[in-house]
Amino acid sequence: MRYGQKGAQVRRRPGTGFLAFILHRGSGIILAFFILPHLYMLYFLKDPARYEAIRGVFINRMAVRLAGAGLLALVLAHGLNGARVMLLEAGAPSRLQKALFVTALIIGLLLLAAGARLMIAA
Amino acid sequence: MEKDRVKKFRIKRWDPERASKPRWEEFTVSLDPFERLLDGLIRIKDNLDGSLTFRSSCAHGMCGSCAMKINGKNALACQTLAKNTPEVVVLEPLPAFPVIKDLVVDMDPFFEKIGRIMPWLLEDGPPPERERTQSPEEMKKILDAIKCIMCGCCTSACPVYRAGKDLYLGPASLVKAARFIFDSRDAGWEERLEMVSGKNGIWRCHSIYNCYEVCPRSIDVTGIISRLKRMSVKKMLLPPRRPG
Amino acid sequence: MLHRFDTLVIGSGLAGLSAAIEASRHGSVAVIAKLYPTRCHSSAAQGGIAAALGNEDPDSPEWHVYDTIKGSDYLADQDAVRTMCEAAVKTVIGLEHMGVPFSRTPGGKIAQRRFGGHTKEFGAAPVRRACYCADRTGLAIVTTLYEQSQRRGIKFFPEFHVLDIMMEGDRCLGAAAMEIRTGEICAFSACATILATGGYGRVFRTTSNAIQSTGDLPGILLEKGLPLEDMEFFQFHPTGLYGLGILVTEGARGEGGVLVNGKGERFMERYAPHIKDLAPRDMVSRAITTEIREGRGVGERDFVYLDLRAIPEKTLSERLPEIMNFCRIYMGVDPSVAPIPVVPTAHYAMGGIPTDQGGRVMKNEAGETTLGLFAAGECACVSVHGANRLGCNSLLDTVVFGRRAGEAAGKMKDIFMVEAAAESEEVLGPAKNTVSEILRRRGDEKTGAVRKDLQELMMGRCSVFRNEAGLKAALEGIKELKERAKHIAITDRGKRFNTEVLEAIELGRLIDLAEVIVSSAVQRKESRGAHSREDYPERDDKNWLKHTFAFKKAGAFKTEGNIEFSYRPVSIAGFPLRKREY
Repeated sequence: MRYGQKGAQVRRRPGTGFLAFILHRGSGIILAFFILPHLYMLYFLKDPARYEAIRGVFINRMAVRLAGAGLLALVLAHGLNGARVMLLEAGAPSRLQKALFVTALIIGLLLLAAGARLMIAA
Repeated sequence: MEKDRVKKFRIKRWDPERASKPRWEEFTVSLDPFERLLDGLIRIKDNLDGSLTFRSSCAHGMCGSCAMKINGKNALACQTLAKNTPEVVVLEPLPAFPVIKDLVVDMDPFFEKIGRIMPWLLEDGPPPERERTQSPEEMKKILDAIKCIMCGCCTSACPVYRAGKDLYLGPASLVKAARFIFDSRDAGWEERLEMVSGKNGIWRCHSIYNCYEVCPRSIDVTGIISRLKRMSVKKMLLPPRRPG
Repeated sequence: MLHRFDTLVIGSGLAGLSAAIEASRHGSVAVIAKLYPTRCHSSAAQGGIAAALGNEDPDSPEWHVYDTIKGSDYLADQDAVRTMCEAAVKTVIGLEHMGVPFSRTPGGKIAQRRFGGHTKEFGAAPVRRACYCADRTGLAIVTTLYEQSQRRGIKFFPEFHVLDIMMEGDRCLGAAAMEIRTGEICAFSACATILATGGYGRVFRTTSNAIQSTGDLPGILLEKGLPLEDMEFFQFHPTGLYGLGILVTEGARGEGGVLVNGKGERFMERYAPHIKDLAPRDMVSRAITTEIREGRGVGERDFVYLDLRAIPEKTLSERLPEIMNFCRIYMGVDPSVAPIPVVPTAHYAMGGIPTDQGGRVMKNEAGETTLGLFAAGECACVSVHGANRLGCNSLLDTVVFGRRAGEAAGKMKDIFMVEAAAESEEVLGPAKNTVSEILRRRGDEKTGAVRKDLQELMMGRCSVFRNEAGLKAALEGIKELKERAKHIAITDRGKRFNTEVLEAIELGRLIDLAEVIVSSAVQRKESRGAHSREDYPERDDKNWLKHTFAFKKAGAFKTEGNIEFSYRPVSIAGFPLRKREY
């Protein structure tokens, strides 16, 4: 991909495992950036009024609620992909690696759908 | 030329001696469904362009010479039949290794990496009069790893290897290490396991499975690396004994 | 570049690596080869390596000696055969100690199986003598020997194409080789040079041999006025995949596979009533060719079936996994449900560079040897295979005589010193000329076309069955091909990895070897082992119990006149001549 790949005209689809890896890494990094302000709120935000005000931002605005669903998606992506890799490294047969990714994807989407409904309704 | 036999070979060519960057060239050849892509390459070299450069030797998947990137996936040209490819066949040199010319890459770095893991059986004393015994079950543990022909498809397909060529040993070296670590006759397994558990070994593998997907010998490369990972963990937790 | 080593090994297959390991006990060793070490064709050896271990059946080296001699149609030198077979047990045990992952018996010993021509009690019944690692024995041994070579610090020069052997009278001073990736020609000086460059099956169209098996070194020696021995004997393996020539190991029949013709008959019962499908390769190849010629091939086509369906699926997947793969990939056939279409395929050169038992290259039929020049493996002819090699004896030959050559060569440094060559025209001139002569050629011929015609010609006129008229026509054809080869135009003028030039050089050697093969075949007026003359169908011990030594005559090409012959008696030691029946 360093030079003139256009000439090739090959449809380049990353492998399932690579996709899973990127998803896992990507979601992990984004989650890390969320967890920092989250910890800050938990430990250092001692003024109840300010705490409620910030929490209110999350509860009352639909756009931010939807972003909350995005956060859930990240958690699911990260957790389920982590579980997949651990299963495989613990000895699940390699031929299941694609199936496990699809399974993680399906479970993740189901949980996301259920979770998002609850979050939006809350 | 019968229409259904016509194949277009789109080949990435580069002679660094004469050009500063690669170019794509297209050749049209006729191939029977059961002919190999290697037959097509030979036909091009014989009839259309004698300067086309590629490696080949055994032509049936035992020597590992003709590893290249075929339609975006590393494979052996002698093991890929015309019937299993689309009308346009795109050929590139193996990624991750320096190109020497056209489809020929420098495999020295690859073999150098394999050489780093002490790739030879270490005896535990003077050999007995007869062969050392090894049960068929014990032998089965290395059955997958000894199939390796060191073609380089796996290492070249590994994104981790491509990202840090100077660091990561790469899947082929780890398979070679496993071939000894899991061999009941090898006395050096602890030292070797330590070596591959170090910073450039198994823990750089992120179970991306590219190596497993491309291996022309159907070796469970990622599975073997996972086995090494488990063994390394077990060795840390349990008293030193060859774990299964 | 100039290099200086105590021992130089050319070729990195089994013979080369065995020799290098042995020589490394005595001094510095370099291995140069036109491929990376494990890309050699020894990796393609499938069935096994013969040794009378007696792990599965009672066995004795004496029976092995007998089988090898009988298999050779009594042309093998019996003292050399004895050397090989008696060393076999120790050799295979030694390989195991080095780490070769052999398949195992339930008791943990090296597993063995039946193979063509290997019998117990001097021909009574087939015996399990082939030590194997599934059907990838060659790969397993090559890989292990390469590992052990690395351990011993042997220096490898991969992808160096040897263009010339540097001789000074009878002394060999090393070799000149082109570093393929740069095009630079380098001199390698050594006290001893071991040639282990394998076979030259690429003179035939249908062959199990690798594309790189082009017999470069025998060709060079011929050029230097050295002889080639028994070149008329070229083995056709009976079971090559139809159309491709890819080998299906004899082990497949050893495990219970049978050959079947178009009428569904197990025809080998007619040709070898006792051991049937496990007869030696020359007989089975003739049987298959006869069946096809007499209209009993399969369907309209020219092949027979190898039927493995009687073998339990577990045995197939455990002991013949590669075969299963080849059939699935290349033929679209699953051997557990359908028979495999097979034809005889050019497989092994019994003849080659004549050597004594220490691998020293002979310069004439009297057995006088050159100094510092050794050969081992398929390119050499000791001769342990005579007119026909038994399966599994080739791996044994490469390791046993590779090691013997390595040992003898390693000691050469105490006998005479060789200084590093100077970079002079005298040293590198011939090698450079070989290349520049190719580049000077003008015309409209192409290497591929000439090579294809050569292979067709040899296949049609000089394969399983031969006759005077056909062979003479082949000589005429070769004469034309030589002329055509002079007009090959090279389009790639670059220095870097120029395989077009190398292929043209290889083609020249192939044509030379084809000429020797055909000429040798014309003059041997008898049928023996793999050399089967329709016009002389009987073995003639009175006139032809002797090895052919072919020399290239200086001067112009004349039919039958370009090669000179002399003869060396066969060594008989203990096994008198008998009619060969199985």
